[in-house]
Amino acid sequence: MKFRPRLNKNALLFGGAAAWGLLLISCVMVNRTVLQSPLIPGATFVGNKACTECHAEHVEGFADATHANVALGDAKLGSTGCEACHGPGSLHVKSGGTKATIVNAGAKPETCFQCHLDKRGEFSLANSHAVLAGKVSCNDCHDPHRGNAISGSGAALEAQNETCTKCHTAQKGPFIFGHNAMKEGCVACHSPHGSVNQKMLVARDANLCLRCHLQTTDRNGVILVSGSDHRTRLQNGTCWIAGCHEAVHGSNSSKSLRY
Amino acid sequence: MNALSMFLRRSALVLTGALLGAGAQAAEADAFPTFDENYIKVSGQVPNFTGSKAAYQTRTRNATTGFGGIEAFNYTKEVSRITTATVDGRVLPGSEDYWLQFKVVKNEVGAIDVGYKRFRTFYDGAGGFFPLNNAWLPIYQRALHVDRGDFYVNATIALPKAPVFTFRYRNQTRTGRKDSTIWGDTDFTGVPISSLGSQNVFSANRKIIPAYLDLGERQEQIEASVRHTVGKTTGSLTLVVDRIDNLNTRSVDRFPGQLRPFPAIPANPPTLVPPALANSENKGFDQQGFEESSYGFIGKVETAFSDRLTGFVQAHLKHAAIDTSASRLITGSFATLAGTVAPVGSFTAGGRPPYSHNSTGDLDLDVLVGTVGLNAKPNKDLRVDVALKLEHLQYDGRNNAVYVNNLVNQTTGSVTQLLVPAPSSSSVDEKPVVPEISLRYTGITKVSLFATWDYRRVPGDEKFAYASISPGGGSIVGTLNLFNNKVKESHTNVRLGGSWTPNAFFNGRAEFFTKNHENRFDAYLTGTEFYFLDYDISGVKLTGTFRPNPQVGFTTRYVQQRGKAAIASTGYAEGDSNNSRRHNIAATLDLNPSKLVYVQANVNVVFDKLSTAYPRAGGSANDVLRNADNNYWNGNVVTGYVLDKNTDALIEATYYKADNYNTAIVASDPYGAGGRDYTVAFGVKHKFTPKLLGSAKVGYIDSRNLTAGGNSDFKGPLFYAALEHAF
Repeated sequence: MKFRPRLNKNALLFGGAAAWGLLLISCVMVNRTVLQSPLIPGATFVGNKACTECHAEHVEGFADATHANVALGDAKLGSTGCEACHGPGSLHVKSGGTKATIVNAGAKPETCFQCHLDKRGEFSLANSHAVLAGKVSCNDCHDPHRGNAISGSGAALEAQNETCTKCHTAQKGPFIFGHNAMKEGCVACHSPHGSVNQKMLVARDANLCLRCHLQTTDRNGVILVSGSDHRTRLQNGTCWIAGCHEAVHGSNSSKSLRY
Repeated sequence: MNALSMFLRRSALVLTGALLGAGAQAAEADAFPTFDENYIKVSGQVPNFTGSKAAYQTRTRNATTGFGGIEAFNYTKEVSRITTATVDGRVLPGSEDYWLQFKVVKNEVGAIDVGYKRFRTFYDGAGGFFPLNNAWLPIYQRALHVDRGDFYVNATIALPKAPVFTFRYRNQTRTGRKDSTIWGDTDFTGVPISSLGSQNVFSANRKIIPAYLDLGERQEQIEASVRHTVGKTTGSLTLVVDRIDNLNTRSVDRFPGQLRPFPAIPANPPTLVPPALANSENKGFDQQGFEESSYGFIGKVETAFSDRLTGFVQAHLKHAAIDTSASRLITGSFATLAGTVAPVGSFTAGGRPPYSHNSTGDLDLDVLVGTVGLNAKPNKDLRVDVALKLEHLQYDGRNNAVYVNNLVNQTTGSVTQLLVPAPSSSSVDEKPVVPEISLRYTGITKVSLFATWDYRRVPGDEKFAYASISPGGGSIVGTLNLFNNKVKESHTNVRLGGSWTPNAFFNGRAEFFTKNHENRFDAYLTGTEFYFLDYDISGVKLTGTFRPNPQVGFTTRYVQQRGKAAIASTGYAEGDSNNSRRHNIAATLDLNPSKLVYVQANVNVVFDKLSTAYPRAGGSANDVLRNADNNYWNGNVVTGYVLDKNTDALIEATYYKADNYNTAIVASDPYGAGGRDYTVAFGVKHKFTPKLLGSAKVGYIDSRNLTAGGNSDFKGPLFYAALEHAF
């Protein structure tokens, strides 16, 4: 039996272009010679230096990257650098860089799921970004090769919410009356990888807002927000429903965020 | 269920037969070819399900019509010894998934690619569900989907030992209609009214009517940059020009189908209708326009002082001019002695302003950010990164709203329009300072350690002028209010972690993180009002990977996060406002007992609780609120077999369950997400010739959504087939 060097379950599970999501009905097919991701049949580790020759732009910045925190330079331990995600590169180098001999981690989330397995579960939820559907990739929001994997954090030049607002421009603002929750970041209210709640919300009810707006809980039987008892209003539904604080990201006409 | 049982039995018979025949033939199996260049893949998918079409589309991200077309196409040609041209494409009508890209790469000269990509996202338009009365009101029968389009041009000139020039153009659009969680009200909930004297003759109202949002968004971005290295110094300069043009319209229907009767017209009817009489149908929309023109410069210089020390300076300057517009028009219907009238504007006298208005405004935004830093390697095992970020954010904005209210004479039915101007403005000035220190140490054999600390301090100044609108003296009046705040934010973030790799078989990682955020706003006009938020988050991430050989692998990850918040404000001492906990346990098992069989199993379990006022508030407050539970678990198992020389098979099953739906609460909206999905799928792939592959799959999906009271359930089989041809 001879097996051509092939990708493994990366291609097997998430290798197609369309129609993924909950039911991986299409595009998911068997490829022979399957190994644990990202191993490549017949290939061995060659180290980061070999990658630099053709992919200098990625390798040079990696020392600053979050993922470099877990990198070790001991070939006996396998690779904790480039090849930890892209698979052993000997066949890729030997072939002159053919696509079939390396794992294209950017196009397939399975590589990231090796360590971030919780994200596989979150992306499988009904309310999630379409990563498993192949319409959005991990790389659209995270740069694994350079800087902080969570863009905009720390002393980075980018703004904190830029990762989200580069696509969601309507929520970006600024507004005459901004919602200060935006200063805590979009993730204060949204689970960007997926949630059981609509709009990827951290919670689907008034608790979402009360975390930062509840004035007292000292068993006085009221729910005070801005000095006003909101019990009756909360009976009707969430804080952001019709007639109430609908402009959750900010308003240009209402200080109370009512559009 | 019978259909599923029959489907499973038949599938199992087919599979068993196939596996029995696999055996010896499989040992002769030859590898399937893989088509990465010069190939076309044609495929189609057809669903045959019963239940909610909208939920099917949302959950599976596929159209109910199925799809068919070119799933993948690639044409690659070596134009010359150093030049390669590539055409990639995808054309899938039905799922409205399209992509076409032309790319030319000339080694040591540059590259250019031009493409257009578009895909569709579906929404189910589900509002709320009230179990007491099985209240489920899908009043909108509209297709809900949004198309994202992206036209792009990327060009790079990268000659050896010369500056690298890059040019990018993107035109992104987001158009279509999606659902909204800003739900409207209804009285058809079956919740008994508490007072017989109430004029509400139906039942207590709850906001569960679905709403939708029409999107018309466009963003154009031009980016031109030059990057060059001289000696050990690399510099880059980027110009970014950005244009955003958004016009989004949210439609809300409140109290659909309701017309509150007037059992007894008072002798002197008010011109402003009492709230209890106002719950007749309100139908309208809220339109928000946003046009931004901005330009910015990004400059970066990095130089290596030695092999062990690198420094950098970066700056970003941006100016944006924004025009805003808004139109919120709500048309109400209610009865008068002279008949039903339907004027624009709201009618309540209970303190709610009339939320119909037209607005125009503008904002100017200026951002200046500078960072400076050093990356030091004192020795081969230690790396120290130090950076400082200074920022100046400033924006000024004005909004001129004119509220539209109509006074209605309830005896004659005559309508008198009242326009109330309500200007607003804001001026915000913030100067964040963020120092950051990162350490990485690999001096311990087979161990890497890291630590990161950053502290964001934001002194700021906010000035607002806001015209509040309220009923007064039988009319609507606007009152100008001024709010000025001194802002003080201090955010401390810390991460500590390590990775231990004792051998090639095992890797263990741990990371501890904390966030301590304090935001304080002091109103310096009054000198007494303030708001203070203290938000702390801490947690740990533990990951273990065990790979004793290439045939077995096991990885598990545990993420725990705890959040606590407390706020203090004018007249209220600091008190807890949030207590949240989240535990997430995930595991992956890989088994490859032979080269002919593989198995992968994944499971993800989440325990997530968010508590605010409940149950601490006590009394009747506990009747309107519960904790937010967001627990769920999901997983999948996939296994594949080499059946014979030219045929492979695959079986996959997935499962998801959330059980947080709380039907007991009747004084408020029911809380929590509840649902269950499972899928099974069988697939076969066959090699007809070395250049022609065929594949087919059949699957079954069953989805139940308790949050929607079962109104979003669906189930049924799906069929998929594909042909791949290399040329």
